[in-house]
Amino acid sequence: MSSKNKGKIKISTFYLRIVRSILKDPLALLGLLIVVCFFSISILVALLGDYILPYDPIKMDFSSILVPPSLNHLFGTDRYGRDIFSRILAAAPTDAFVSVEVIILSAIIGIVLGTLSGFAGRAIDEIVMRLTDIFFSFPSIILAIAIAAVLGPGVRNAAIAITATWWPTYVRLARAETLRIKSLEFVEAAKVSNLSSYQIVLKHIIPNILPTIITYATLDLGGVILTYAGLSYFGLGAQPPLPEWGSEVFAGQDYLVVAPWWPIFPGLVIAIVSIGFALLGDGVRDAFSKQFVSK
Amino acid sequence: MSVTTFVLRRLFMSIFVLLGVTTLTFIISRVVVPNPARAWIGPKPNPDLLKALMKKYHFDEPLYMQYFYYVIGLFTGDWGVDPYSSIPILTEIRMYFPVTIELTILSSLISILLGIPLGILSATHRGKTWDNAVRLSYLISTSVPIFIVALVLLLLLGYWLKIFPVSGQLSLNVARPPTITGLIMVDALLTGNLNAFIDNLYHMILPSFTLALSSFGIITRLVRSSMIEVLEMEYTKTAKVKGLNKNKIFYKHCLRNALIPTVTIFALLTAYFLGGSLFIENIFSLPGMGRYTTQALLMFNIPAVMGTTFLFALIIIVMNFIADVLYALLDPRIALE
Repeated sequence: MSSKNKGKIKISTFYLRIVRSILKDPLALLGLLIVVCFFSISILVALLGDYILPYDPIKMDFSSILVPPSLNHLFGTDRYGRDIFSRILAAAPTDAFVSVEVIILSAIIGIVLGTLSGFAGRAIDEIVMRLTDIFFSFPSIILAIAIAAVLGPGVRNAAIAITATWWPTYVRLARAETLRIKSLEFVEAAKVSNLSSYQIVLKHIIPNILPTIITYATLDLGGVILTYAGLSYFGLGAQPPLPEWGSEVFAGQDYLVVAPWWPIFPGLVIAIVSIGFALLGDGVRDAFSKQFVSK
Repeated sequence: MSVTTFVLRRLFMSIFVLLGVTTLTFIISRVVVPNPARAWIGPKPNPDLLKALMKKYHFDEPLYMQYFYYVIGLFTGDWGVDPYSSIPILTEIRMYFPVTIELTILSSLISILLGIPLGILSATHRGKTWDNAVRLSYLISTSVPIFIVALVLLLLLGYWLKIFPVSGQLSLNVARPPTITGLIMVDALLTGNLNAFIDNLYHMILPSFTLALSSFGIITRLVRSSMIEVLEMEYTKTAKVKGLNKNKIFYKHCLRNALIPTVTIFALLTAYFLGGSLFIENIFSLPGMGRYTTQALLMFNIPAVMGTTFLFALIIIVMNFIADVLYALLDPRIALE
């Protein structure tokens, strides 16, 4: 790498390095495995639905109420006799979909405002940064809950509510990356050759900040899943009788002593998926610690 | 920049952010919400009463005037009225807030006791087994949803092993001390009721420990990195070369300087605790802000939800301001930059 383009990495090298560092780290590899499983299962269930679920996730069966875990019912049944394992599987696509939706929207907002902030001069930079400060002043879960409550419960509104609290991190990240790239010589060269700011951002800045943002965004999916679980715990996600990881825990917690499997298993699944993302993220972050803005 | 200019600048910024926060809560509660009058006044007032209340709450005026009255109200102690109980929101908050204060303070203490030693352990054994174990533990603890940590601990330590009480603030046979501050532990001490103090503490340990368990990583991570930084400083090396006692170097030179940045973390930590209180107070049946908010949530009680939202943001802004000022006083280089 020549010294004048120091800091600018070829995209293929970038991903190659990430893959290499994950392969070396057994915990990161475990994380990758969990994440891949989560998305594969979500896609399979979304496409094939009822064909692969062991039981109907919604149909009540009063002949098998609160059955403990067994080979017939892997995670037991709830008080309506519904198979908890099937309900957990059936809810996976919602979580996958919401997390991807929130992250994509936040990344887009982040890239637009972040590059603007990094490129359009001090006044705009100051305004955008103070705007993010305002959002950072709330515990994100309470802001998301307040917005979701006001909009009314439902998957779509929950996704909007989380996005409303999620974008500021991406603005900060995109801004920091923009400032870093902006100081490199090839951008100076583009300026000298009379490209407009708009063209520079479009042709030089965005393509160069994308790898970092995409990497960060991928690992950030776990955080959204965790927050969404919090919203659905309070009944702000998909509405009953549709299954939802968080609301399953909430419904089951009154049966904690009689039927611990009902709240615990859905909770463990949320935990495992979230830990998977965290392990993977930690591995990747090790390799690129300098390029990440901590949350 | 002198420290005074720095403080004034930060104060100005905080006020700006606070106004921004009021704008945001106003937009959420008066613009985004469908039918704001119904949300603020309640589901079924008769038409005459509705008209009177609309006028009283300024719903018949243009939005910018509504915003004006809203901000004036927030800063003069009128945060609206609970449409279900007809009690002013601030009066209700005063009833529920003490529990959350107790919870937050205890959780802070526990997460400091857990977080700082683990951070130091991690930094001094960098790259070795201890370091990896600590990093893995806080990685897991921050990824597991807090309500699951709470339910598992409740089941294990509360119901199965019966080490801790499973709900509430006091045992049935312990009388609540007269309300002075609202904080049971403080009131118990003020009235010399040691029994109630211990009983309340005993009830609060498991919820506080749960909160601390899912947030000590914030402290650990910070202490670890700032400790590593200090250990590699020139003055640490100089002290070593001078042949100073190892323990003395560690406690006098390293630890003190490494702990300074932790003052900045308390706002973030408080944000975690306040957010976590929503879940914890529900699971452990504690009558605090979290429980107040979630009950309001289930009833579509918008003034109450927005009251908590604003209060939490206000607390965090104030904490951030105090943290920055403290940091600048402890480490004057910060203000100079």
